[in-house]
Order: sequence, then structure tokens, then C-alpha cells
Amino acid sequence: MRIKYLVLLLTVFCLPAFAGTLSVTGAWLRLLPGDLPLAGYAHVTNNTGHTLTLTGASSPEFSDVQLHRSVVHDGMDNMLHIEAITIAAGKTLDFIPGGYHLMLFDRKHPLGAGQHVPVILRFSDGTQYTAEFVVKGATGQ
Amino acid sequence: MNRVLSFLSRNRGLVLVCAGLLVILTITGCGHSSISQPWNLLNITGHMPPLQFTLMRDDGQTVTQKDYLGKPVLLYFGYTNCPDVCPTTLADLATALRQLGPVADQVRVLFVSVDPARDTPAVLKSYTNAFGPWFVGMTGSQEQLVTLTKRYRVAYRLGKPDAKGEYAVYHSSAVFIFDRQGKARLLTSLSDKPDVIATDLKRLLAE
Repeated sequence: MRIKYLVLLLTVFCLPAFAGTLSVTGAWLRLLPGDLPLAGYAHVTNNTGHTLTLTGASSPEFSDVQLHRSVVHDGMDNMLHIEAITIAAGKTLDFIPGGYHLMLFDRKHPLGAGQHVPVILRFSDGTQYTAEFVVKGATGQ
Repeated sequence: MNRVLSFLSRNRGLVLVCAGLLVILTITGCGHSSISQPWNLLNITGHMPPLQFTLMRDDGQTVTQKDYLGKPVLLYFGYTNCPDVCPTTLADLATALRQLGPVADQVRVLFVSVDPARDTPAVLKSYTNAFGPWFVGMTGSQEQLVTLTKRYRVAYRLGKPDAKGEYAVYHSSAVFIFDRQGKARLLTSLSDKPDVIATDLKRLLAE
């Protein structure tokens, strides 16, 4: 009886992890020296069955994480601060060099290539997702 | 003379092959013939002035184009607080240079910061070192930067600072490539992949 109860309890707690998944793949940060802000890249796939709106991000390793987008227009590079990005059901949001990217300010500790940094993605429906970003060298190696 | 003629008639096949090879070598430009293959990158030969600048290098020295005569030079304008496009461009150049092998050591990539307020020589040095030995950081006074950017019709503008004083810099995303004599030859765009850049650099180095 007690075990049955435990199983039921575990099932309830584990449900959110399985019902409608969001997946983050290929997540990495480009390491630059000193206190320079870093860019984060990843592929965020929305398999939750409903539209998601990414409204922000944070990381315990940085004082601030912002959503940015590089736009190259007429050979000029311009970086825009983005408030929110909508990901339709079944679609993938690509954070890639020269496009959407996370911008991470003021690292709290020195970082080294190969290290993993948690980044929390926050959505407008109140849900959040923690992804592990691997730190790569400046050249992306 | 008779001996030559009889040699030619006896070895007609060999003579034809040699003549054919000569024609092929001429056409493919092994002797830098005027009939040359188009470059992968945008050919700007004759459309941009030769390399000329006075800037402060990341070791604190004032340098000019004369310090780089004899080396192909890649010139790129950016700033270190640019975490996306600038490092992506520099990383692509590093990948291209690595593909060249030891001859890459003859090439210099001049990363000219148009944000001298934040990019001190020390900041530039550690930044460019992160990409490889071929990268050199440079910056200058507003006047030096305006002179240089105007010369290559490159625009840049500092963005409005946010609450924390952070600002973006609008800048050209192209890389200018100069040959050993300092002549402007090629221009890359963000979409040019490293192997394409490497192919053209190899060709430029072989000139």
C-alpha cells in the first residue's frame, strides 16, 4: 500500500518532465577574455504542443543574460535587444552566430573551455527550462 | 637539323602530348597569365585604395602600413564588446588560416577597434590572442579611425548606451584583403565560409 502511494506520488511529480517536452540541443558559449560579454548559442525545440514565448534568461554564473539578435543589413552589423521570441508548436528556435543569440554579462567566476554553465530560459506561461551550456574557446573549438 | 626532324617524326605522339601540356599550362595560368579564374570572394582590385593607416597596435606602438609590407593583410573593423558577429568573423578567419598550414604565418589579420574608449591596447591584446597568432589588435584616435574608415568607405556609429552604460557599435561586417604590396584585392562577407576564404588566401600567397 505504501509503495503504491509512493509510485503514484513519483508519477505525479515526474509528469511535467514528460508531458509536452521542450528540448535544448547544441548549447554552447563562446569564451572571450577578461570581463567581455559572451554569446550563447543553442537550438530550442518546442514539442509542447502549444506556442511558447521566450521572455528572458538568466544564469547563476552571470549577472545578466539578455536575448539579442544580430542583423546584418547593407553590410553593417547591428545588434538588437529582443524582449520576447515566439516559438510555434513543433518549431525550433535557433540561436546561431550572426542571428538570435543570448548575451551574457559579467561572469561571476573565471570560466574555462569545457566547463558547463546552467542557463535558465523563462517563458511567458511561467514555465522555465534549465539548459547546460558548454564553454568553448574563442574560435568555437 | 635533319636529326631533329627525324626525332620529331619518330616521336610524333610525344611531341603532341608536350604541345598539349604547354597549351593547358598557359590557359590555367600557371605563369600568371591574364586569363585567370575568378576569385571566390568579391574582387575589389582597382576599386579601393591601397593599405594606408596610422594606428596604435595592441603592444602600445604606433604603426603604419609600412610595418606590414610583404605580408598579405586582412583588415576588419569591430569592437571587443561585440560577442556575436565579431568573434564569429574572427573565428572563421582563424579556421581559414589554420587550413593554410605554415604559410599562414605570413598573413596578418588587423582587428581595428572603432571603440577606443573601451578597447585599450591591453584589452585588444588578450582578445586577439584568443583567436590565434596571426591576429593583431589596433585602435586609434577618433581622427585616425575616421581617416581609415572613410578611406575604405566603412561606416560605424556608437549606439545609445543602456541603463548600465553598455552600448552596441554599428560597424561593417566585411573583411578587406590586401596583397603583399598593400594593394586592395578582395572583400569577404559574413556568408563566406572558411574554406572559400582559405582557397583565395592560398592563391594570394602564391602570387
